[in-house]
Amino acid sequence: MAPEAIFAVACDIGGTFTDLVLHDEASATLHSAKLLTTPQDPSIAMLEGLALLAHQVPGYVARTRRVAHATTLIANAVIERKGARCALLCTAGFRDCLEMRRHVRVTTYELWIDPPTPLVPRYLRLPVAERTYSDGTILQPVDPDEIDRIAAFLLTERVESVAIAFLHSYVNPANELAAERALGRALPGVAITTSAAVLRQIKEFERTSTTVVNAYVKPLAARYLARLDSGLGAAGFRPRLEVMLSNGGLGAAKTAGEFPIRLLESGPVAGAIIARHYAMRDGIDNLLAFDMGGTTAKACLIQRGEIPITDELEVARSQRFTRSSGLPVAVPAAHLIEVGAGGGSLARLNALGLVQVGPESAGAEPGPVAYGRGGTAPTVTDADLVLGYLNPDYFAAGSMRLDRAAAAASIVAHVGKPSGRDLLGAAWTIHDVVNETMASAVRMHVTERGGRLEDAVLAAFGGAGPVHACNLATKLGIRRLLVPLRAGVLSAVGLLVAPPAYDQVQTVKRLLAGADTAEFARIFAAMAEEIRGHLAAVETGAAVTFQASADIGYAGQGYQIRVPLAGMDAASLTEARLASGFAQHYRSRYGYFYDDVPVEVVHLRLSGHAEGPRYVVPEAASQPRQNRGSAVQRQAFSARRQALLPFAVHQRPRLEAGDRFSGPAIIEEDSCTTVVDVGTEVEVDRFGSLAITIMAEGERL
Amino acid sequence: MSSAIDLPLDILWPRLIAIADEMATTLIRTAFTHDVIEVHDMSTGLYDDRGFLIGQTWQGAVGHNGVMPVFGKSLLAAFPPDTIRPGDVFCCNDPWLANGQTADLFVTTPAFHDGRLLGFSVNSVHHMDIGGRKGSGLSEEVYEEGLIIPHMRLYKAGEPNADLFTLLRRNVRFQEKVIGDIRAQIAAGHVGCEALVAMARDFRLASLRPLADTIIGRTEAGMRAGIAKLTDGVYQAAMPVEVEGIDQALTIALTLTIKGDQLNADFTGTSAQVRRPVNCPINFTRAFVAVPTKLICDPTLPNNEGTYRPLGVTAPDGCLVNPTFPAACFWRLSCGQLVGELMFRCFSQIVPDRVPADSGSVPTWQFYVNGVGRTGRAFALHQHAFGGMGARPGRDGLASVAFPYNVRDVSAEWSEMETPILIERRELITDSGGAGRWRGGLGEELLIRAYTAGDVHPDLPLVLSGSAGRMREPPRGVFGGKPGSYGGIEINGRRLPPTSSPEARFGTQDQVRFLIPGGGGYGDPGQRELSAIAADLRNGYISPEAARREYGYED
Repeated sequence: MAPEAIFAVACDIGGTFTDLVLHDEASATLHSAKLLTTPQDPSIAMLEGLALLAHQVPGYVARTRRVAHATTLIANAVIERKGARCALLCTAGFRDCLEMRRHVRVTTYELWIDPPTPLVPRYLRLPVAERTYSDGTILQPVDPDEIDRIAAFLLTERVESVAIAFLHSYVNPANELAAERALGRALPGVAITTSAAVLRQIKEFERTSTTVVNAYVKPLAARYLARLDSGLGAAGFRPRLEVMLSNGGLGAAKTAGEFPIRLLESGPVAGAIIARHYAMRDGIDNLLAFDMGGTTAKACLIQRGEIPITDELEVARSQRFTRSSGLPVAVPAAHLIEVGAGGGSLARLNALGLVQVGPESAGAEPGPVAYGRGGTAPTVTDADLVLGYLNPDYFAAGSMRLDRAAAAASIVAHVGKPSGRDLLGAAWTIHDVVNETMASAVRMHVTERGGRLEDAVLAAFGGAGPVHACNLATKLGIRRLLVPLRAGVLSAVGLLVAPPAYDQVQTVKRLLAGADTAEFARIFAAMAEEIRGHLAAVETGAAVTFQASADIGYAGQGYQIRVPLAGMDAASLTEARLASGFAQHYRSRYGYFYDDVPVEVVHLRLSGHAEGPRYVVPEAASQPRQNRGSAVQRQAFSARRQALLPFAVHQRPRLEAGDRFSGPAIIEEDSCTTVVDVGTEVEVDRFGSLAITIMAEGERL
Repeated sequence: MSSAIDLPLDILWPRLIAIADEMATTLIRTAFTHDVIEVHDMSTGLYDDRGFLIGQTWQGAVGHNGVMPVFGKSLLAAFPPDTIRPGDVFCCNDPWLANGQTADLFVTTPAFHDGRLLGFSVNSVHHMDIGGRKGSGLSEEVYEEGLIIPHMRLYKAGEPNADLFTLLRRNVRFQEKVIGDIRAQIAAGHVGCEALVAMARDFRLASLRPLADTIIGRTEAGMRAGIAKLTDGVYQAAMPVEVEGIDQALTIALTLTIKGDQLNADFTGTSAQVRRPVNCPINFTRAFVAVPTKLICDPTLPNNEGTYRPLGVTAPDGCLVNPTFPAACFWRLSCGQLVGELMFRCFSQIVPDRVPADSGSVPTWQFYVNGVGRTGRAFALHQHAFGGMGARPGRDGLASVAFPYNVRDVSAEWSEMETPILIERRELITDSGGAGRWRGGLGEELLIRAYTAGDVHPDLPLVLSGSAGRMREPPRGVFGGKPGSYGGIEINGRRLPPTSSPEARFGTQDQVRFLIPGGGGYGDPGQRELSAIAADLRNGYISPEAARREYGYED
């Protein structure tokens, strides 16, 4: 009899490091491994890491029931333009929609900043004489002979992958399907992606772009997943590979191979997943997940346990962090704001004489000046070191000694002298400016998505997140912070807590008054069937929970809000229930609602996730609350006092649940450092997280 | 620590711009029409209590952006500070006070902190309708172009000005959308004021003036430094304007004087205003003097009061670019954007290595198709269409792009959902970009017709009107580069007479074809890299005949 399968293993392949965690479900223990990523073939580091874990836990391979995986491979392939040779079949008259990009320039006042060139050159964008109208009527069917002629051309052009995107295919995909059939017959072995399969959503540029990006990465994703799969099989793993999708759910390798664009945010979303997990464990309704690493900071507001989902993702931006400079990918993805503000972000004086931090970064090489690896321009890490927040002798678990004198000299030379500030003033300004950049991005996120910051809890992750969290929270008017244990390296654990999940969308666009809501129920049922198929490929027979929603707006408005629905059966979809749902959500978002304007339903959305046991962060036995002092102190900069003060220094591994103390304090652990200012109270909660309360001036807990 | 903390400009300046961006996002998320949500024909900003613009969104349309500085001062002239109360909201669309056409409505909201007037938030939106002749290309006086609202109170001390709302509702088509957009403007104004007051509270600012003076001073210094690098001199450029029904030749003439760090644009020699809606009130003219100047001198400087201080703009009263009331001006875009082109032509004489050739995207073609459904309900298609950018030194011009204007189109799918107009083609025009060492960007062809099976009245005509240009003289090439293609409009293959403010009726069986011009080329076509010609040929950007004719290239 086979031994009981009690292990789950997760692997997060990042730009620099490949992190692995192994969960022993029987003893509720975690094992981990960390390797340098192998960019030429990321599966190498993953397989090596899995082997390393076998040294720690002999025999786990045969007893593993889940292998979950996140990768930045797909996004990188688009950024580095390493995808397939692609063609696009499009409606005659619209072959340039991909190139016109809705006519937008990247920045208003610059002559030289151009949008990215299309993934498919014009001579491979092939017009097809066909047409569907907006109500689904076929005005002109596809002529198979024309497709045959096109196929012959594609053959001579050695095209590996084809996108088919016709106008209004989201209403009626018949013409796309006819072209796909004809092309499939003529070109066996060539990957085909139809826009209706990828995204049944209105707006031709965004849908075409999404389809083309999928076609572009499809052969590469298929090769990678096949290699990984056979590698896992050879290593003795039996379960099918699960892959993290951009929406924060796990998908089957088959799904990932068919729709690799759903992996674009595979890496970054894992951080949001673990943040949500803590929010749910701690019963936090309104949590701002804040993840600050070496080159970027990411954030999202998780309300009532829901990760915000966007359909406005862009990949391979020509101007990083600038909207409209990338290739739109409109499939549902976690809405993470990303700003060029990390520990390695470079500080300089701009043309206006203002201190500017990022988006340029010193990266891992040469890195901050303090690393002593040849960096000369000051970074956020250098400022944090000078401000006393980082310990030069205990950085990254003591693996690296930081050179404070070099950091200080660089800050004085590049920022202090030119702006007339002393060392401390210059270092503080760098720290404060990077916080301001993140605060602005967070405020904008909330403006776009709705929600409140005042009663949010800020959860800090990433190597630099806990250093900046307290001062960032103060800027945003946030009073409570949460810093989970091992906050610097939690992403891979996110793969263990995520459920298999998939979502689908269908544009319906019609006035709510008099709409055929029974048809909505039929559409939902069809989407549910499709989602069940994707989830069954991950976990056969698992119960699936669905959440239906509708994007509803004022007629012709062009912008809608997402209204969650109580169910997807005809009874839940009556005109009255949809209308009252819209009114309620619009009012809670904007504070008002107009009942004198007609309302339209634009998209129906359905997401489903499979139920089943997942990893949960274990609870520690809690001590009675005790005041924990610290004999060690270090001078560091207090934002509130605008002066150096002695900060108590605590070692995180020695803290126990129930411990509490007051700021100013610095809490050090292997993967990160947490800094709290004067006027804060810190408590170690039952999950080992630091729960921090920031008090108003003069207030006592 | 002293000097760093006095006025944390590194924090406050970006904060002001971030507040304006938040306002823009609020506007886009709560507005009712495509013009805001999809097209982004709007802008947002912040004034200090003197009406000096101190912050502006990067997302705004350049015309709106450029008018905000002067608008602040006229607002305070109309409403002296001692008459302003918390809860007031002001509005204005007077073309001579605001953005040069009646469709653009400015809404300003005062912000009070500790009982004192701190400043204002301001935002502007192109409205779908404001009454009058539906954006007619034939209007002769501004009275035909809808309701004119001078500086007025939309809210007084927190109470809506119900009379004004009633008047507005009675005067506009699609009233629920127009009122919806105004409500979005009020919401955005509120968001801006709240954030401004929070900033003043957090940083203990009793007044914005010291901050404003620093921001404006540094911006002005940056602009002046950029201008000072240009060689002193007097530079001239002129171009014709074609208007159907106006017999005499029309010209816009610019004399640009650079003296030290001061730039003066004078339009003496420009033809008198005409009885057609192409006249461009000077606020909009000034905006298009500023856009190329920023593009050439320092594109990274934030836009505020300081941007405009080094720029002198003078024009005779009653001319095309400074018309007097009650000149028709709804399509002032047609002349106003040509001002931008003339600025580029002058800059090209000074810094030829930094300036593109003429652009087919100047002016933007913005048009309405007004029609009536079977039940008598009116519908309106509102689209923008774009020509090619002029070739740049070292790089081809971008194809069919919003330059230097920066709005976007409405998707054909969405458009066909909303109106019974079928978009049959929206594609680049082969050979439309001027030949050159660097090629002009291609223009676009747009083909539309009524969807007769849809909700369109079979017997009533559809009316097309809008802005256009370059039908008689195409975008020029420079330094040996060839011109871009001509603009044109055809109905069933019949070309309309050249005009900058077309108006034409067509039937439900007719096909309308827009040919938006390509950009001019830069440099001798003989010097174009062979690989670039081959790629153009392969991609159909140029035809084999043009490759032979313009470049002497045989495949």
